[in-house]
Amino acid sequence: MGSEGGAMSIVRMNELETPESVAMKYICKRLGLNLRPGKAIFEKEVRSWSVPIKAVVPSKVSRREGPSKTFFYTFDVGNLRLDEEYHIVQKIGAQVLDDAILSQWNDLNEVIQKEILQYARERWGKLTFVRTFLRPVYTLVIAFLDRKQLPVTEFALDSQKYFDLLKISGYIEATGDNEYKSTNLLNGLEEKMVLAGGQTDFEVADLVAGNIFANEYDRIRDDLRIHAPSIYVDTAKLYYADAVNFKEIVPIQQRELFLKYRQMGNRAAYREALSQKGHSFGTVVSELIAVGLLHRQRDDIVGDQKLFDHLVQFREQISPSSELISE
Amino acid sequence: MTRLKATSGVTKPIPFDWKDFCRNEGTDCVPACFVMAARYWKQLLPDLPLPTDQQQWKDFISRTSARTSRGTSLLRLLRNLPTGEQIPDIEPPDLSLDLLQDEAEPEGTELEPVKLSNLVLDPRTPSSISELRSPFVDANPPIPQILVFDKMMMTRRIEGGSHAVMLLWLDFDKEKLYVVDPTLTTRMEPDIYDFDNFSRGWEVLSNLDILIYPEGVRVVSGADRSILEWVRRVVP
Repeated sequence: MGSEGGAMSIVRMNELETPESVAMKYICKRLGLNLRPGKAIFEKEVRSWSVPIKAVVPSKVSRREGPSKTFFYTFDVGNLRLDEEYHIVQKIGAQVLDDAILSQWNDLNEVIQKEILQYARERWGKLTFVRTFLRPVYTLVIAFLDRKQLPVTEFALDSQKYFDLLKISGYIEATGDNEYKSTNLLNGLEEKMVLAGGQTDFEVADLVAGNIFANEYDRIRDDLRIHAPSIYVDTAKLYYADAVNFKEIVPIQQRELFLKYRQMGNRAAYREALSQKGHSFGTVVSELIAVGLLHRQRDDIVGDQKLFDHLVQFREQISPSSELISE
Repeated sequence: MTRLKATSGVTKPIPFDWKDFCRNEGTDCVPACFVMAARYWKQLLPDLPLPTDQQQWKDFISRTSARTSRGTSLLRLLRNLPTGEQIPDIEPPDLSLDLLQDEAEPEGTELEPVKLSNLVLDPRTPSSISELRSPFVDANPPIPQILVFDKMMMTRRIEGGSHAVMLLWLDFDKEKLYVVDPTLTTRMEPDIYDFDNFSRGWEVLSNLDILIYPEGVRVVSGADRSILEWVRRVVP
């Protein structure tokens, strides 16, 4: 391309020459434009500039009729360091930023997560990835219902963590070295369910696994590093956080919900879950619908009225930093 | 050569084809603005290795949009850019598979422009709105500029999210910017911002301005804006 005379075009532009403007160019090129620099501080001891980086993450809630809203969540996610000549000497990696944003998003919505987990405590055990990834819990519960007392040595080496989960939750107790027996909680649950209609041991195990999943969610995800079942919790949380902030059970298309998960969901959970043959985000949503955490309304997905009514009281605690209403 | 004063006059608008450049752009503003600029250059310079197929651009936007909570970077645009030689997929891209991959950003701290298919994406931080004039008047054809700013700060003085628009022309007499907002293209007419309000939203993002041009343009700033450069520019 040339100018009218055929020579190279030369564009002249005076630029801001500040630590913030250098940080902004770095953000634009390498990180992503939901980030922005804060006010730079010169740190005399290390003779360098520290530029705080802030993320302003949008979540758009669209409706077919009436105004839509975009919620903006603001998080402080780290610092870039520049030398006196504004060269970047300490960067922030993209993955570190993703983790920082996700972690603060989860902290903000912790109350919603906790309530969702407890609301469905009797139903989590029926979901595929809970059954698949907590299978040893089911095996142990069925064995304890059958024999009442079991030595750890009869089971695989890595079973101890599942014995621990059952013990922490009060379903079994230690009777000696490496031996456990079922407690009245587990035995009573079995009796109660039999009286209620002749449930099988597996259904008791469903209930126990669901309760453990609800109560020990953080331990299962962070210590046992079992991520896949989090896909259910995160998907429900993404829906209800928006609905609560919107103050309405907003219908959403499955694709929109997927795009929200793509932006703010737990990627490790997605990978672990979707590496299972025959599963997709659609099957995850269908399972959430099957256990009543979400519902289908024609082509859309909507929330559960009772759960929504319960969660809406926590709106103040999860509110975004700002919101934009648009047609 | 007569030059308008930087603080007066009206720039010639970018010859913008509303029907061709902004079809089905979606609402993620940065990729959508980039596609408008790429189509603009493809129309002017048909040899550029960029697709003409509508579906390829739609897929590009789907892949690029909302990939992470960080928003779009120039390197992400680079990664997803279709080339003119690719055969368009019949099916839309499977975004569920794309989520299974890590988004590894190349290491480095350099700030040089990003080159996409012979188009240069050059992030700049002009010191004021008057600095936006040169890409209109010193380049022929004029260079599309993507302005990134905080729209909520502009309209309501509250911090909101980043937004990107493509600059169509500037009226320094009325102190107005005329822009294409990719979320409002169905109106088929520019949005109009006044300088003062726009500056408030723009400064939050250090006056970020992404210039998109083919190779053969030189952007000079700071110390490079020497008298020699000035002579090279005004004396063909």
